[in-house]
Amino acid sequence: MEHNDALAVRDLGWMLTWVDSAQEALDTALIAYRVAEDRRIFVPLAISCDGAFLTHSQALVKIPAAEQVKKFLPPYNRGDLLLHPDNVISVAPQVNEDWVMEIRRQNYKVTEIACDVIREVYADFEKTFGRKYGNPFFEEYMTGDAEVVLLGMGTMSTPVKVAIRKLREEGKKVGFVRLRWFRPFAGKEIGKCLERFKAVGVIDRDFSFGSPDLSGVVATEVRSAMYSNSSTRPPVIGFIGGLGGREVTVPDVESMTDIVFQAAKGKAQPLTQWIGLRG
Amino acid sequence: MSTFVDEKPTQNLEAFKGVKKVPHEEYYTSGHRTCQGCESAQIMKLMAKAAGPRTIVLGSTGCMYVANTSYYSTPWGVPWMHTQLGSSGSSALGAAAAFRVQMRKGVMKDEPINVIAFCGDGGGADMGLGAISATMCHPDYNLLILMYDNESYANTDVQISGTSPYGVNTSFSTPGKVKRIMNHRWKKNMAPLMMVGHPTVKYVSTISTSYPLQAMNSVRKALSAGGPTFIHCLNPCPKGWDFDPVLSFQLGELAVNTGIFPLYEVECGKLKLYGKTKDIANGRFKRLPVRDYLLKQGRFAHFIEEDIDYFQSKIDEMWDKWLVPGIIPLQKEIEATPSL
Repeated sequence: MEHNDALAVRDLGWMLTWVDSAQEALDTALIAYRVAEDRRIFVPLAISCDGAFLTHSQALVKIPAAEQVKKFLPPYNRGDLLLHPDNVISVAPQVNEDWVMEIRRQNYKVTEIACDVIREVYADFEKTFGRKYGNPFFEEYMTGDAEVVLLGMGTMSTPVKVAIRKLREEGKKVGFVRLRWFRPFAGKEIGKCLERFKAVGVIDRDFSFGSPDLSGVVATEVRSAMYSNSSTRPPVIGFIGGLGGREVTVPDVESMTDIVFQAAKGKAQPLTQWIGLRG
Repeated sequence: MSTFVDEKPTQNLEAFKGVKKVPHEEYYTSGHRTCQGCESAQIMKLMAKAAGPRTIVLGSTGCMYVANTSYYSTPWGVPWMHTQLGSSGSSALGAAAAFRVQMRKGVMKDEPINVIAFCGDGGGADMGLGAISATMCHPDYNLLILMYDNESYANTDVQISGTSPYGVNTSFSTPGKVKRIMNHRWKKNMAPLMMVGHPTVKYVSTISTSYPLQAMNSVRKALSAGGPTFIHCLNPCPKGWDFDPVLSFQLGELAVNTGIFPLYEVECGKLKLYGKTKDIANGRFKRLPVRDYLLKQGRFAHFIEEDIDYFQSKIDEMWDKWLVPGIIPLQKEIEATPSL
């Protein structure tokens, strides 16, 4: 398992979201239908569940009542897009190169409002099911007084959180930001969130071939979001690890945290580092 | 048919009794930009007319997608949807299954709706073969897959396909000085592949746009037969075959009269030849020499006598040696086995 598979489609016009627990996978499935089928959005949406770590392990899940789900997610109605003799339409004609710009602009229009729609749906989810996700775009863990943070997506949150609790006992003020929505990427919120730390370590379970600083995809995105949205310029160290389902271990997280603290102290660090590599 | 098969009624489309009895309504009209003399567009028109208004059409990529439905224009008077190049089979099955579910749930009025998926020879005989075969194995769903065969990937500039005839000049089999014949493959025998390979299929036929009434009636029969059905239509293509568009109709006739493309239908396992093919089979009509057909087309312009003779000998073999002449390419044991 690595995130390169899902990230390969990041610029196709799909929405992409990552979950880290079975409960979140179930909840996000309901949320995702509401978001993707919203006529203001109406683009494909993929939910990434880390293979094996999440999909092949057992967990207790609260199954919502059917009436609640029906209320939150009414039956899908294709309306005037229904392929039926009573509704004579032609679906998906050939769009040649002379319309590509207008089609892409439709993608753009979707992303302009996507964050607002997602916020709306999460608020309604909370109202309907009483389960609270807070900020829909990312989860913050022990960031209140943190000096440095790590940032990542998916199930790596478990070892990272365990390690952070351990490091906190040693007096190291480190926090974790788990990104949920990758597309749309909540650039403003991420930029504002990360500007208050002295250094940021981004753990990528992917590698973006030939990217600036030869980083992973998320590190590149985070740097880009901070460039335009943060008032400070903390160093952003990219880590690449856990590829192919290799475990991101607690000692891995400890050593990454050390590197980020060194960067926070002003000691220059390589911008991309591979963690847990053999040989 | 076994009781395990959950059949749904089809529309009962009776045969048009004659050209004058064919309704005037068109469900494939202006709005496309196919070539002059395009017989593939002709079968789309006949197919839509034969199927009538209670129909949906699914079109896989090919000429009849690209040339018909450009963004902001469409010739279709019945609902139409594009589907991927190799997925005419799966989309037809999916659409038929979706209708069934929606009707069972009461979301839609329960009525027989024709589901037709068309594909070109590239999309059907090459890429889509697996999906079509899988679809033909599902007797519960009423649908028709119509393959319009212009014997090449005509839309992308005439590349060779599985149904391109022997020796043909395409942009992937251009004859050269060293090698004259670049396509050694014999045309894929699609309709028999469907009927022999999928014994529960109730209707398979071959049609030609040069015999429009029979073509339309064949579509109507296929849609009334129940279960998955398949039609193979040969469509002369002025661009790909390199001939004057005025000859389109005549070449369709010649393909039948020379015995290259036999016309027949198979209803619940019963084979019935029709038109000139029937006359050829029972000796009332002598097959025309293939030379008449080949030499009218630029794509065979590089043929020398030897090539025409070889082509003719293969056609003769089809009619003289095959177990079911012109259709099933098995030979009787006595001829197939060398003397021991």
